[in-house]
Formats: sequence, structure tokens, C-alpha cells
Amino acid sequence: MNRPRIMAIALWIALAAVLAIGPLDRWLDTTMPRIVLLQMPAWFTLGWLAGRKRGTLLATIDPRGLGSLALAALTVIFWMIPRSIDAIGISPLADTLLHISLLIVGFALADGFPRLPFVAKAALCIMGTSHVFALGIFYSKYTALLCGSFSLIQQQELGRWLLRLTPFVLVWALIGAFRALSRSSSTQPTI
Amino acid sequence: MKRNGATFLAPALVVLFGGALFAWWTHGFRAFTNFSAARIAAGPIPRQAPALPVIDQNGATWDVAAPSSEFRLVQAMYLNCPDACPIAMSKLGKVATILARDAIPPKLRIVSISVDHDSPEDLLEMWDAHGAHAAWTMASLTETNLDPTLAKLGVWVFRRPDGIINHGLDTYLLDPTGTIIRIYTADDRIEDIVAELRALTTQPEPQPAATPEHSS
Repeated sequence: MNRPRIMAIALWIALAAVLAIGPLDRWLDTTMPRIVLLQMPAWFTLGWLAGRKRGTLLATIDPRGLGSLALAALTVIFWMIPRSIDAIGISPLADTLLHISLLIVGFALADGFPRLPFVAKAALCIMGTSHVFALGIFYSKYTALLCGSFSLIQQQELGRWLLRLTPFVLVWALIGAFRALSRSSSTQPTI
Repeated sequence: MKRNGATFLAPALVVLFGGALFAWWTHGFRAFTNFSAARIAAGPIPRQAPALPVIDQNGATWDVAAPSSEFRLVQAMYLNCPDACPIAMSKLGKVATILARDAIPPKLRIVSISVDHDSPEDLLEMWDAHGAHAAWTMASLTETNLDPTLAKLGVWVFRRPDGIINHGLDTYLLDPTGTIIRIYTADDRIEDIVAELRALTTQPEPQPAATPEHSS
């Protein structure tokens, strides 16, 4: 194992440790926007980084990457249920499960995404963007509290942030889709 | 065939396991918030409301759920709530105002129950601030530990670290026997609630239920 590789692994472990324990984790668990906009993407990204250079580790059991797609979609939807967001803030066990599940999802998607058919990649991008937009509208406009351990102000703040982020997610998704299209046309058979 | 099987086995297993987990966590896809989970956990309606011993804004002590001649429209409130309660209280005030236009049905009492131990003086101040409707009572539970009683009613209560109390804002309609016969959520329209209250409270006196607790 070469030196840059060792450094990368050490940096990854340090990042995971900082995110998992101590004051940063407590700070991230305090408000809805921090949980959804910082903590969830951070753990997903850590998982993605871990799985990015693994090649086709899960190819035997998930040859087309559809399992990782399903896992990612269901996991994100599960943690976006207001009851689940509440649990993250209230229960250390739920918080730990969030960390582990998003690590796994990031890892699995990094492994499975390159094998996904273009149609599935495009669907993921479209669904992801529309999910962010719809949640943004919902959380910013709904006047009753949905997450019982946070405040209405935080709920609406999260909604406004999601709406602000939607154009960026859309651009990112389009770039990703075009890259996937160019790669799939040269390397993968279409379904 | 072998390739197709391998392609769809993993996603099928994920969807199956995920579906089962979702169903368990949301009480069969019915409870996506802790508020609705608490409502479901308290049991289906109609069911007998738990005893709700209170002291009201006039200093009188009574049980909101005890059999009486009146229907009671009960909602939890928190006097120091910065956001959700004022909206819910305003909605309840509109219900009281609309009903008062043709005289509030004499068989209906609106009761806001505090999730904190508020004094009659504080309750009176809040009652005045919301229009001092004669048929609207503001009260505090007299029990030391309020949360189990509110949970039996179906109200989720969470005491935040910053001292603020979050709670469910469903509105419970109790018939004269003290049985919960309707639960109105934040999404129910005021006009629909008023129409139903008018219809229910102008019906002939209901007979006390022989078995108020449903087993289903």
C-alpha cells in the first residue's frame, strides 16, 4: 500500500471519528437543517469515498446495481420520515443507525452506480431532484409541526434551504446524467 | 434467465425488507410523525378518554372527561409556545367565534389543556387574549406527571432541552359520556369542523354507551 493511500485511509478514519463522536455529532443533531443538510450528506459522502475505488465488489450479487439503487432510495426516504428525523435527535441508537446506514448506502451506491443502466441513473437524478424540491415546498409552507422534537422555525428553514439547493442539485444531476450517457454509450450495453 | 434472476434478486430483497421495516416503523403506513404515532398508540376511537382533572382560569377544579351534559372539544396548548400553538389557538378561536355567531351550541364546551403547570392567573390572561369566549375554558392538569395522561389521550409531548414543550395539536371531541368520538387534525378545515359540531351538538341526547372501550 503506497503512502498517499495510507494517508487517504487515515484521513477518512479521522473524518468519520470527528463526525461520529464528540461535540460535532451533538451539534449536528441539534437542528433539522443540520441533520438533513449536513449530517446525512456527510455520512453518505464518507461511504461513497470508501466504495469509490473498490471496483465491482458487489457485482456478483447485484450485477446491474439495482440493489444499491433500491437501498439508497429506501434508506433516504426512511430517514426523511418526520418520525425518523425526530428519532435521530432523541435517540443515540437511532443516530448511530443513521451513520451506519448512510455509510453502507454511500458505499453500495459508489460500487453499484457505474453498473446502473442509463435509464436508472437518469431516473435517480430526476427523482432525487424532485424529492428535494417537493420536500422544500412541503417543509417551508406547512404550518403545523411535523417533527415533534424540533421547532416550526427550523422546519420552515429546512424547507427554504432545500428550495435554494434545488437548482444546484438539478445542475449536478444533469452533469452526472450527461457523463453517465457518454460513458454508457461507449462501455455498457443498453437495456 | 439466470442473469435476470441475479439482476432482480438483490433489489427485490431490499424492497421486501425495506417495505417490512417501513410498515413496522409507521404502524402500517399510518404514522409518519410522532404525533400520529401517539394518536394511534392511544387506541382507536370511539374510546373512553382518560380522567383529565384540571384547574381552570377561574380557579375551579373539575374533570374534563367526566360524564356531563356537554360535548367537549379538547386540545392541548402550551402558553410559551413560540410558533405552532398560536396558529392552533387562533384556529380554535375561529371555531368558537363562528359558533358564537348563532350562539355556541349550549351543549358544547371548548377546553384548552396546558401541557405545563400554569396558574389560573396565567390561564386567565391567555383566555382574555383569545377573546374571553364564555364557552372556551383554559385549564391546567392538576396531576404532578402530566405526560402519561396526555399520552393516554393521544397527545405526543416532548420537552426540548431549551425548555420549550412540543406537543400534538389534534383536537379531541368528547361526547357527554366522556367518550372520544372524533379527532380533528391540523389539516381539517374550520368550516368542516364547525358544521360537524353543529350537527352533533344539536342531535338528541345520546344514550350512555354500555361498552365505551372498543377492542378493535
